[in-house]
Amino acid sequence: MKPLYMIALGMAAMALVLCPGCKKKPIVKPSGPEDVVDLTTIEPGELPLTEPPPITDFQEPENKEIFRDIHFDFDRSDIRPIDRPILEGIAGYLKENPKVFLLIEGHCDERGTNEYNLALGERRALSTRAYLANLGVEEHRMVTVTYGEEDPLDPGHTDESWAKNRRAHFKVANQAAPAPATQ
Amino acid sequence: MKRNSQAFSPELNPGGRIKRTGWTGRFVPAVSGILLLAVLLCFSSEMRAAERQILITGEAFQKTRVAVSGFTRSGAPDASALTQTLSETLRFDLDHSGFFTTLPDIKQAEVFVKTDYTVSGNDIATDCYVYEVSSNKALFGRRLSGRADQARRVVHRMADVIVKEMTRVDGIASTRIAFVADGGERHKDINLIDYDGHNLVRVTNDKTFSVAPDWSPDGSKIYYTTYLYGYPRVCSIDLETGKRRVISSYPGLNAFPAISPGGKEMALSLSKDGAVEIYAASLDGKQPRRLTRSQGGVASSPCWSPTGTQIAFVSNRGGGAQIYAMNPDGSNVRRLLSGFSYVTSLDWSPRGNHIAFSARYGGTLQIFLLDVDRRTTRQITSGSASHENPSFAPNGIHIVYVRTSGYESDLYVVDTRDKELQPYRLTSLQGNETYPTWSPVGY
Repeated sequence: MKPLYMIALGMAAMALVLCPGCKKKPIVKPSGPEDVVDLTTIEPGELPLTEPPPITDFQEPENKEIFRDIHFDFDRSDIRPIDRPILEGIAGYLKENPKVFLLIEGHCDERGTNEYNLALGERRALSTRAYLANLGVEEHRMVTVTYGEEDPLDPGHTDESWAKNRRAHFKVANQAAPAPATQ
Repeated sequence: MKRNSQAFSPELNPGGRIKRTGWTGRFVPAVSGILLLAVLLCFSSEMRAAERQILITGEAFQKTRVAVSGFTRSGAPDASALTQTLSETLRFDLDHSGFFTTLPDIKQAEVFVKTDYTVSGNDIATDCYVYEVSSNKALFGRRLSGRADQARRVVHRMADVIVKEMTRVDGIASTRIAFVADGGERHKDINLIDYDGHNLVRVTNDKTFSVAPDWSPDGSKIYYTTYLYGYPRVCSIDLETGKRRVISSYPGLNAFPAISPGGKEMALSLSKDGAVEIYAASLDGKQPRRLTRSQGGVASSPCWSPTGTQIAFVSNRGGGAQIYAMNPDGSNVRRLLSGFSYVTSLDWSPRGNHIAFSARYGGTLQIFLLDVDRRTTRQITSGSASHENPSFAPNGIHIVYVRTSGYESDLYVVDTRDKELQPYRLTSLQGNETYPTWSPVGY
């Protein structure tokens, strides 16, 4: 009885992985009444994300000293050596807190075409994600969003303001359950 | 811009003067009270000769001098606001058609345009009569009707008829421009405005960022990037019905859809595979095929050549932002410019011969034209303000662009063949106007 139970459970878990939306519809036909498995009692495992969590799940992190903005040179998206310790700190936190998801926002200063900056902001967020992945953070826990030059941190128009605005900003979400699709 | 709204020189007596021309009689002179069924009018050989004379393209372009009488109402002079509006609208349209320059004195003009209108209820009927001054011959006449509360649109169509008859090029007076305007704190909305700066229409009002609009080739839809779902996604809006559809919602960036000239596929930028690259996809965003490999850079703003055989785009793969072109399958990628830096925007002329781009120049950004065959460039904008994001009018002559001065961005329109004509300001809203894109056809 026990091995059969295990097989049913295994198949059910597979069904869950393949079909996250159909929890209550067991595709496994049990051979006898004692083999019925109530799938709703199964704790969902670590499902790889196919859709990112809704952006509204992400909040400003409480550990502001860890999740500090990193900055970029003009028209560049490579990680500056000076910002590596920040990313190492973030990677360390994420490894210690495996249920935390990370949103990486990419931003640009106001110079240059808005359209190009939308692309560049995404590239900055992707560079940041790649760097964190290199440090051992699973890619599926990190999602990117670009705001281009549309959402400056500093509304000023000086070199100093621009330097502040060329940034990657971090927000976090706790994964309590598999994230639903955003649509 | 010339906006002379005074009544036309009284020495011109259209009836008397034109009557003496010995015209075959098929064209009835524009005497008050006589209406013209211009659609029945056939073209004369004289008129074809005039066309050939006027149809000149290229950089040594001479505009035709046109004398425009103010509109008369039911054949009589009229000082009402509507009459003024019609007269000013036609003058503006001809002056900004790319082919004509209006002047008050018929003696210096090559062509004379006389116009009249009648209003009945909410119906307006406008007549225009076009004469060649040297021969005193009528070239053609037309009647255009519409709703009186949309009288400007009727006159725009009249201007387009004049341009088409005289040059065989489609006019731009009935076109409009989609762009992005500040809608409030962290809101940006897609807007439409007539090419002459009138008739502002807000298309989106989603209290989020709606950016990067582009037109379907038939002008019926606008594609844009919305943050309504949090992450940037491409959706379309039907301008007739308002119906919206999500087109592309892959993880990461979905932006800059450009529909191929044949209307069969689209190029767009996606970041689903870990880099911002250009993909080709079906019109519903399905089956994206990656076209670019940008080696750590981005590939953005794809733009089809009018024949659909090339895609131009912006990339910083070589270290700084530059423009490139490739075949639609992603092969044969080549850099288009040398000697320019920070080239972050481009548009391919609907005529195919030019690519407009913005580049860093003398501490600011200026717009240039690349002659695609000759490989020469020509500066279009100048001054200390920054100029970027050019978009061609369907005639391939005018460009709308973003001019940023004092950290405020507004849209301007320039005639790329006429150095004497000052660019005109298209928008004067509060806040910034960005992402202009000219409609491919009139409406």
